[in-house]
Amino acid sequence: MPISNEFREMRFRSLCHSLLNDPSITVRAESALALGRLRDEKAIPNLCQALTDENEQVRINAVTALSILDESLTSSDIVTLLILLFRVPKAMSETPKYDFRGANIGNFAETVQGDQISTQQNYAASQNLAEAAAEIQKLLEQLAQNNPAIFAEQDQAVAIESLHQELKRNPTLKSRLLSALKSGGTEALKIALETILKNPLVAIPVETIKGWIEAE
Amino acid sequence: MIQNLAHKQMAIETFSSTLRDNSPEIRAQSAEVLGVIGSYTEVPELINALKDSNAQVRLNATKALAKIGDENAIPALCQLLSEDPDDEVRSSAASALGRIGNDTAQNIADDSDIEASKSIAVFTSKIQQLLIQFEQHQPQNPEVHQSIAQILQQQPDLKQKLHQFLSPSSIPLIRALIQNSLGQTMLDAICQEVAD
Repeated sequence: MPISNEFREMRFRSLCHSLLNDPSITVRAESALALGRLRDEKAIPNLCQALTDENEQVRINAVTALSILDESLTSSDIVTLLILLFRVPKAMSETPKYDFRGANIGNFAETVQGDQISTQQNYAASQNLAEAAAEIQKLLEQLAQNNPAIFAEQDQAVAIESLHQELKRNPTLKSRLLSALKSGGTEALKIALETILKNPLVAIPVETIKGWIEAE
Repeated sequence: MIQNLAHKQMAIETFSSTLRDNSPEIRAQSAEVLGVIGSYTEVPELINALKDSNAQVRLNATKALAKIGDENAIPALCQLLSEDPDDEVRSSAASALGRIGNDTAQNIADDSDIEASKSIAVFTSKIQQLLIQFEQHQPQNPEVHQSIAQILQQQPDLKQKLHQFLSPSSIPLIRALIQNSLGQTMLDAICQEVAD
């Protein structure tokens, strides 16, 4: 029997509120899983926010919930995620430029094979990866430089809306960002984000983002 | 399982009335049993039990309502989730809210997805522990590989478990959870060993 919209909405709000505000770890962790079970993509921004929870179990459950929701994600959630990543404006300005060519990204190759030929192929793949990662990083930095106010905004809802507006005003940047994400794939995005923020949390949902992009 | 419908109805009526017993233990047990044999008819009684003074009764009532899965329990469960003083009761209310409205097969499939994800998380934290040990004596890649091969040889159970965890879909998640490049090397070595 389908649940009425009124009850659906009430339940959604109640779970989101507990996910982000309950003092108990088990309640926040269980709320994350419950939101995953509901398969309501409106929960994605809240679950992304829970990825920065101080407790590891809550973060793990948020990832689990996102992975259950995976198929129905949209590109607007990338925006939310980007906001999250830019919550640390300090790291942004203080992080020195990173030289991807020196990075040990051969390890990121998808398959593990020991022979010489595949090592060379991995090396070539890393070159592309490095270029894509550098491109993504450049674009994100450009976005941050042009809009310092967005990234200094403390209220997340306001910040999300501002970034939405900014990306609407600047479709070129948006499409370049998306296509760079596409060509470099998950690993490029991950490397770029890690480099910019040095925040281990932000790397977690990258597989999910890739899913969103491919679903476009 | 009670086969005779008349007997089942009798049992349900008995437990519905003992849901108001003076003893909190009996009320808690009754709520639990109604989750198994009860149906939509018992939902109002169970919703009432969410206001019980005893936390165990409230906890068992949330679980029973999760099993029966009636949307009419949603407002009361939401209230419990935001107001109950007991952590376990609030947590169980959240879980019940996630299950109501899904069919049983869906809930079971989700349970197993969640369980798999937890295993991966435990596995990842194991790798991270190993990583700390390895980092203390800064081994080179061949040494990492050798140590892992050794560990897996000593623990065939672990190897078997890893074989189950490391499906093509779980590897990217683990990879994303491990931040350190030595950890990535270890994961690669483990994948290789387990595949043999």
